[in-house]
Amino acid sequence: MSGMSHLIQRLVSFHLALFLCWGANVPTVSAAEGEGITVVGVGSVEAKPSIVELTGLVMGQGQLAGDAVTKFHGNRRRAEEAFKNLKIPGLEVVEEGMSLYSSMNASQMQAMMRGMPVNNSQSQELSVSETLKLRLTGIEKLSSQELLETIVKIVDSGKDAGVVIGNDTTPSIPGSYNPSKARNTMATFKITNVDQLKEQAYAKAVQDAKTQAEKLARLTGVKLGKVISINGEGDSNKSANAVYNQMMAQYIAAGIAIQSDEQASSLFKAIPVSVAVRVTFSIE
Amino acid sequence: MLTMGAHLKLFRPDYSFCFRVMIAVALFFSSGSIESLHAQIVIAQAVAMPVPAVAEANAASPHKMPGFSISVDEKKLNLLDDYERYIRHRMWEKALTALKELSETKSTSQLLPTADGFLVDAEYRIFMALVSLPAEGREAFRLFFDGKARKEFEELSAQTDVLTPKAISEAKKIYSQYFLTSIGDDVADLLGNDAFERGEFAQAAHYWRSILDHHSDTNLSEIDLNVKYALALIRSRQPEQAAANIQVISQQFPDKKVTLGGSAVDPVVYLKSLIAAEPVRSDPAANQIPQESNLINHPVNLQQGKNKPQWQLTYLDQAAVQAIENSQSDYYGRGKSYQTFVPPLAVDQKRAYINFYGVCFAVDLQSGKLVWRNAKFQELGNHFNNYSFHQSSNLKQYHISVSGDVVLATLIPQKEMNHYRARYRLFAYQAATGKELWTSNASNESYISKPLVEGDHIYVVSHAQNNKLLTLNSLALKSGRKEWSIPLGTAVSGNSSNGMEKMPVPILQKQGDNLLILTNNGALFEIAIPTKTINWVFRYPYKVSQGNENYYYAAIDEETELHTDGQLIRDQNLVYFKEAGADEVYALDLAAKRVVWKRPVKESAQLVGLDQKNVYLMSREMEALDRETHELNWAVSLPVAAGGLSALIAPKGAWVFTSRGIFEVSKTNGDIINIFRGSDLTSLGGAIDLHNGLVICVSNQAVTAYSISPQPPRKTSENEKTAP
Repeated sequence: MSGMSHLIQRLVSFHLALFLCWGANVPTVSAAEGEGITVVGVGSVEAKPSIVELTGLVMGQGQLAGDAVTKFHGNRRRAEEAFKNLKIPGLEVVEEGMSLYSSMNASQMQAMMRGMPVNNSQSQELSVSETLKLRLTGIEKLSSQELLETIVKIVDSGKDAGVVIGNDTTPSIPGSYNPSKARNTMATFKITNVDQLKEQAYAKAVQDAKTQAEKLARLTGVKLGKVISINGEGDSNKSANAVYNQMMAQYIAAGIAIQSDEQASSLFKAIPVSVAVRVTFSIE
Repeated sequence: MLTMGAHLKLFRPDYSFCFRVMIAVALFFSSGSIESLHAQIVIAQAVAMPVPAVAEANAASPHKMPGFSISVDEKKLNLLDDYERYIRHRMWEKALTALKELSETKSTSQLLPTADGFLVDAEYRIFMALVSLPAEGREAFRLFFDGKARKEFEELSAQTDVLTPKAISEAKKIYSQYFLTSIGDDVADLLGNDAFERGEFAQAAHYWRSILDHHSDTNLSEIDLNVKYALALIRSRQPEQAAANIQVISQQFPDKKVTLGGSAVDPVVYLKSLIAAEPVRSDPAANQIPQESNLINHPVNLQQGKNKPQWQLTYLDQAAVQAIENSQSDYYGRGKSYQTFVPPLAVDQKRAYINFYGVCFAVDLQSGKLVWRNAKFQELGNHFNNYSFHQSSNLKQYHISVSGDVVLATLIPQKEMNHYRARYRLFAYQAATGKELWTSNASNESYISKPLVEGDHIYVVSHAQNNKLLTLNSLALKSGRKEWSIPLGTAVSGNSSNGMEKMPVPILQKQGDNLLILTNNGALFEIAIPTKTINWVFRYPYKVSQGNENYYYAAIDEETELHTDGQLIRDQNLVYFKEAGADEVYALDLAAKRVVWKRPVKESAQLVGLDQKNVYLMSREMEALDRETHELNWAVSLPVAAGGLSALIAPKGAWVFTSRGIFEVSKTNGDIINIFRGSDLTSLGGAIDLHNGLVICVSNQAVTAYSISPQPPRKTSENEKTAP
């Protein structure tokens, strides 16, 4: 009996999955059953990034806790001074919070992953670390060349000061593949005022829906009436998803709230903000 | 068979591993990223672990500590324990009987342990047990032995005016057995005079010192004894201790004169004039300032754009690059970190000499031209591909040193690189031409330490293949002929990634007549060269990891990547040392034979310098430990990516050659004062040295020299090193 209910559950799940897949691939134009014409309009506006963000990690490690703290304070101070001394207008160092932990070295980690005995586990060093966000605003005024030179200055200065720069600053585990280590994005470009841009995009999406519906009405010889229902489908932007997901993971790991009014991309070019709306027009 | 075994071991199926990989993959997808997985590991390990094993090891007798093994005479040790127990219980008769038996028992080993981690000469240890008798025990001692001692000494004095070897031997016996009797000071003075006349100044100092320290009721002139003691110290090239004794004379006997050579002289003035006249080192070869101090008294001024390289020579041949890459893609060279290997360097007034995997070559310091090489760089790549080479290779065993017209190198010759368990042999080349002068011909000996040259003698540590007994050898510089050797003890070796034993590489340093040997295996030796004996050994726990971590893609530790070496740096009577593979730094007072302090540091850290305030260590960061408090004054993260860990300690800053150029670090707080990118930017950085006005940087691929000033700076002498 339980086997039968299991089968039914699976069938239901399968059909639900099929339905969802179908839903994702429906044509952007559809006619509701006897109620009007339903279309999906897409609107997109582009904006040049105004912020570039780099992630840096400052750390102090030591067998003695006092050593770890001394090292951390020294490295932290030098990192801050190094960025300050660059005197780059608009460069801001945002503290993401300090953490204190005792961690295995790479060899111990790998041994544990393989189910092997972990040697010298009592001699783990104490670590004090802090993630710093290096935010440079006003980059829309810079040319690509100028921006590149500025970013390189920040990266060089950070590396010289012992800061680990990159979006993935965690230590790598040998024997395991980590895609974000394989290509560690150094800089993330961001646009602000995403809400405003979305409003513009929605206006375009509604206009697009109306154009489509009118075209359908004309083809089918009916007259388009007023809007019966409208359903905003939200962000349809796909290009920045890879970076966005990666950042999501980092934000969640760091316990930081996401700044919703910003949108990121790993490329320095105009970032599209796209939305889709499902609109149903009545037929008169 | 071993080779086959190693291969099979590497590819042994590990179902447990597969299961864990699956779980790891599942965790990865369920948690979204590896960061959260890492976070879970971190939390799981946050609990502190007790370390009872280490505490036990620390409390063990020096000859029972983990690490380097030195045999002691257990029978004598038991007698000594009995004696000390009787003393504690004030059982004088039994104690003195045990002492007599102790003196008369023939030793099976030269050394006996002390309570504070040292192994000392057995006779000296028994002597110390004797002189540590309390007043009541001393009285009993005299009551028992004074008559017999007087009789023996009178017989000895009556024999002849000239001391024959037999008479000296008798006198030594009386000294060791009856020093606390009323004739003890006389016999010590007699032996001191004899040792001084025979040129055994350290021994003479020992005898006179024993009267001053342990025979307070002596009828000998105290000022005479002090002057003789100071003279012996000066002649045995121990100027710091001599200066301390002169100060004692000036304070305790102001304005007093002594008769020397028939005339009355002021001892303080006379002794001071002797110190000034006595060269710290008697021969030019030994006048090289020890490189390990790395202290320079001249500011280094390197500025981007202003200091172009005087010359650069690239030795990393394309064939070698390919061979190194191959050694990583197959498993032959895994765990050796060939990519980050920075070859050793030696410099004299005219040339720089480098030993690159056995290809030794000389570069003209002025022009940067290759003067000679003992083999072709291109051929190295072919030999490098042999699996046998990777089995035998131990990158720390490549050494090079220069003395006068002779360059000495330890290496596996190219034609032997495919031999199973190839030995590291000692070669001597003519410095100007590279002509091979001689090769060590001992059939089964592998040389592991850097050869230390003084005068016509080479001091080098070796071991026989398949044997872990380390031997100190003295070889003739001209011919390589073995003059004498001393067995030191048995090393505990680890396993290399190829399943072969990994021997420790000792460090040698000579001052005066004494040679210090840091085994990098848990023991520090002091050897008396004139008498060819071990003065003492300081033992401390040393754990060799013999676990199986040599699987196919085992993580390479930071100390392997940076090729961290052990190092000892001496400043007067203080020696600071940290061994390779150990995680503690020691400060040891050589005169008092006691640990001043010790403290934990990173295993990958290497001692690189010393000044008045700090002891400097390098790893991926530079650390400054306070010499007084042993606290960490500061540390700075640096982009260090290769071996050759070193620093030039200038008056204000320390200079370090990193993968991002040459960094000047403030000695006050570790701040980066200056970065000179230099001309070897594609390298991983490496070693830095200063010679003849040239900053010489050796990386994993090239040697580059930068001229820093029109006037050649010089390294400070040891006296200057301690000046305020």
